[in-house]
Amino acid sequence: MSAASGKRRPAPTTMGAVLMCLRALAGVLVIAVAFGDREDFLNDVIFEGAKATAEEQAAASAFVDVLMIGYGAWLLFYLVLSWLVLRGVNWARVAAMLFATVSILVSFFEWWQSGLEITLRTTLPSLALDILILLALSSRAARAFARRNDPAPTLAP
Amino acid sequence: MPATATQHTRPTRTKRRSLSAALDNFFFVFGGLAAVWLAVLLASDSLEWGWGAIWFALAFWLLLAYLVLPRLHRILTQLYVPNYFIGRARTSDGLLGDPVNLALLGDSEQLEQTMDAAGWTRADQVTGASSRRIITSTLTRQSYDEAPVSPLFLFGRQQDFAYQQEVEGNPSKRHHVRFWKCPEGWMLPGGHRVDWLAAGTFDRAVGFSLFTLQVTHKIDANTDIERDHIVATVREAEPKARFVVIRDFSTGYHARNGGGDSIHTDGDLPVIDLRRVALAAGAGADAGEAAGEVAGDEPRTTELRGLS
Repeated sequence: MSAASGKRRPAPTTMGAVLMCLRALAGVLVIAVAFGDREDFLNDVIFEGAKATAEEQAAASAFVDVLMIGYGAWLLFYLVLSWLVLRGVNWARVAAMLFATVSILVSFFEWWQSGLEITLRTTLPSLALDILILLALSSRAARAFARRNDPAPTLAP
Repeated sequence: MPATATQHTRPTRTKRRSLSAALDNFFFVFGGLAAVWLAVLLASDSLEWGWGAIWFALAFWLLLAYLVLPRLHRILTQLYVPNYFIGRARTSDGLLGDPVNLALLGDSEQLEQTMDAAGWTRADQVTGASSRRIITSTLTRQSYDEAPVSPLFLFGRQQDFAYQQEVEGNPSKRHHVRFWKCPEGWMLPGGHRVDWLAAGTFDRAVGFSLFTLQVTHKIDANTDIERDHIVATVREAEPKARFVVIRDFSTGYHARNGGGDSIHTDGDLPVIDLRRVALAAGAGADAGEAAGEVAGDEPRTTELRGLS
């Protein structure tokens, strides 16, 4: 791959960064639901329909607060990462691929153990996003762009 | 890098680079496998969706044709397709593409002037704007005679430029030829020195690629016709051009190109020598004077045959 071809930002890099933003946006929606509709969120996610005392409710609510603040911080970091990927920073690209890989592996083992069931209504969109992010950022064009400032590899004597 | 620093830093640098290259390769292959899994999930899910399945089928095809199969081909061709010159260009997925069936001598100005004079149009680069224009011109059935051609690779590089001729305003048919500048000092097998290599083929229709299922142009199987067409247009337009035909440069063969279209050729390689072509700029009078003139009594075409 010549040096010239790595200078302009290739489509896969842009695509990867845009998909990362979408992935973050999906997370923001979860946070919005957790804070906007607290009662339903607790019933659906934490207690899964079981009756809970007021004390349990308060404890769970506090737990969700901490969880969501942590998640929000993570999303913020992820957004910054997507901006760095767009700028063509190689470590950011590698980190984004690493996160996608871990997320894909977790989904894969869940799928494998739970009798091979993933439906669209649950995790397929986020899984698909992760896989597309990984495909885009691992492409040769994205790799060449992120490494455009590397010295040319020296040939073996 | 200063010479003193080299000794000290090289081991760690090399180590780091090979680690990051290994990581990249891992992600490349893992991404491919994950995409296969996603295709399986989409396919099995689409069975439960009734009419929505049409959209799933479309998404499945897009995923398969534009992400999964190219990635798999890229991984496999990296392993088994030789990376030295074998007379074939390669597609962006690494598959063997169109046959290299033409060579040229001369600089890029001489080449451009000759192709223009011979009735060829230079193809646009693939960009967002030119892609949009292909779609609109196809839908509205307007002609777009500078339509870009897909990238093919030789010497690890995309073609430097391409020329084409439209056929009766029909966007699915066209003559086209891609050009690659040879690396400095590079010689053809057999020791012939040339400046450019080219691959000319005739697009005869739009269809599906056999290997990736992508929408692509199908080429005419007899690539020799297109090769001889290019040579004939240049012969007519440029009296100062000389031709050397290397007979049986490659064995005649049948094969398939990167889209799975069959190709066959007699294996001859014409070399077009444009080194005597006078450039029009600043040499307007020269060109008129040159027309029809042959330097000495030298024949325009020379044939080279093997000794045995």
